Amino acid sequence: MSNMLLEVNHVGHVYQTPQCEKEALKDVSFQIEEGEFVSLVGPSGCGKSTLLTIIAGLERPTHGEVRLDGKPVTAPTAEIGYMPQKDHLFSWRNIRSNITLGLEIQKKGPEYYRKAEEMMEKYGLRDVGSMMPDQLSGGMRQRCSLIRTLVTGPRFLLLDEAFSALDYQTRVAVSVDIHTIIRKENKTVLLVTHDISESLMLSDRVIVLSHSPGTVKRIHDLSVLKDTAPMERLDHEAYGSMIKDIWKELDIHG
Amino acid sequence: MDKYRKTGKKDLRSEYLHSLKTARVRIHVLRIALLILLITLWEVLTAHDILNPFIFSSPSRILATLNDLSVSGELWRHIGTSVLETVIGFLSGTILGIIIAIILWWIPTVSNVLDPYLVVLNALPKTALGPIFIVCMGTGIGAIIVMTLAISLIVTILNVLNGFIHTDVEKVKLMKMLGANRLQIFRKLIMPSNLSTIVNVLKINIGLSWVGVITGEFLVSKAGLGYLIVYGSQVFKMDLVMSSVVVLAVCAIIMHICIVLLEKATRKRFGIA
Ligand SMILES: Nc1ncnc2c1ncn2[C@@H]1O[C@H](COP(=O)(O)OP(=O)(O)OP(=O)(O)O)[C@@H](O)[C@H]1O
Ligand SMILES: [Mg+2]
Repeated sequence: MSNMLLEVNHVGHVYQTPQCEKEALKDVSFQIEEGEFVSLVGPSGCGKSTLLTIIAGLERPTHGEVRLDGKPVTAPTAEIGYMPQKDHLFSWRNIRSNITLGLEIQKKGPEYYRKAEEMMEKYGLRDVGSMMPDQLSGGMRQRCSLIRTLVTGPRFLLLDEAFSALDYQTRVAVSVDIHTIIRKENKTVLLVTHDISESLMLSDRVIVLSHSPGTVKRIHDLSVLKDTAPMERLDHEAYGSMIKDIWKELDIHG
Repeated sequence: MDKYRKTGKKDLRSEYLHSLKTARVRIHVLRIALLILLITLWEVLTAHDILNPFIFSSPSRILATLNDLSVSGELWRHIGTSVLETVIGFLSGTILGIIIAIILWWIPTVSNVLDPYLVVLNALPKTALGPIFIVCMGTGIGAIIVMTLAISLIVTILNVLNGFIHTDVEKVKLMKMLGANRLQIFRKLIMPSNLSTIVNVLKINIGLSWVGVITGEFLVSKAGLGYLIVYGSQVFKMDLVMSSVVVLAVCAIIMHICIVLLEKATRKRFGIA
């Protein structure tokens, strides 16, 4: 027994298509503790989304296994929340009913709807509850998307490039905003990102994947940055060298 | 200075709105003027025998014919028959088409197996099947409705199924992660995100249904606007033919307007762009 929330054990994945075989992941192993915020970076096409889909239980890996709380993950579970790259709010539902979509699906009781109201109130969405998604800014929509994921009460969140659809300035602001909410709600997170500085700003650890097939190249421990707030990390003395290190590891030649 | 600017700005806005409105009014006036011009031209040319009135009829002859027909009650019987056939054909084609599309979406094996059949049926001119329907269904209203159904059904299935299949996979993934089963995915995502596809299908089908009904009536019937047209041409009463065409146009336009109104209502209700 371990006190790890998530265990990824020797996961490998081979996509079969009529044309060819494509090994997307090979022998990927790591663990995530309860309450940790971990980022996953890697070059395009190295299998980040594949790994996330496997952890989410949407796809079975061809090798190895994923365990959540010691139990194998084989299908989507309410314990794991998933926040996609785009907010994917449904244009025919207002903000409130977008947020409670998961509650409807899981047929949750009124206490969950009260919680949804509380969270909307707490995170500045109370006044927009009856508005339609296209009346909101990108950042607000992203917040709705997060609350929709959080309100069903998952313990573990998967964010697949959750901010990359936003322009740079908004992205920084929104990612810090989302980070704050996630910390307040005390969730465990695995964030996939292309953006090294985003991963350094937000996480406790950064997992670097190598290209084709994806394997764990290195896991960076950011405990030196632990007590520094996201924006202030940019000025931290260790920040520059870490960016350089990860940059080198992601190098297409290396 | 400030005040001047403010009123200046406001004037610009109201001027713009005003110009929009006058442009709209002008277009409407021109449209109606064109219609009046064409009708007058038709009347004048046929009155002076520049166009042969026995072939081209004329507005006054059409009015007279319509008057006779409506006094005797004939007109309403024929309109009623055609409209009824169209509505039944339209509803059954649309509803059946959507139901079949749902089944095909639900069970991909079935849709994979049937795919080439649908393609062939879609390419086939359905009017070619008319004689078969007549043999099977007799020469009554049944054959006409089946004809209409044949014309609109395949198009409906293909369009709706295509919309269903191309619903954003990321959204489907999101629904699955929220724990949705297939029925929930269908009801909460597939159906609402394809409402505009379905509205478009309705628009296409109303036109196709008229095609089916008129073709069917040409082939078999003893009543309806298509029958009037065929009958009129056989006995060389072109007034009757032209009158029927005019009535047909009016009926088709009214149904089209109904669909447009329905579309507006659904867009408002479901907030689709
Ligand atoms: N359904 C599939 N069938 C076959 N091959 C696939 C499939 N999905 C992904 N792949 C391949 O697997 C590899 C990993 O893809 P994946 O989407 O996981 O990469 P990624 O790291 O998320 O890339 P990006 O950063 O561009 O999002 C790629 O080479 C891709 O072509
Ligand atoms: Mg990806």
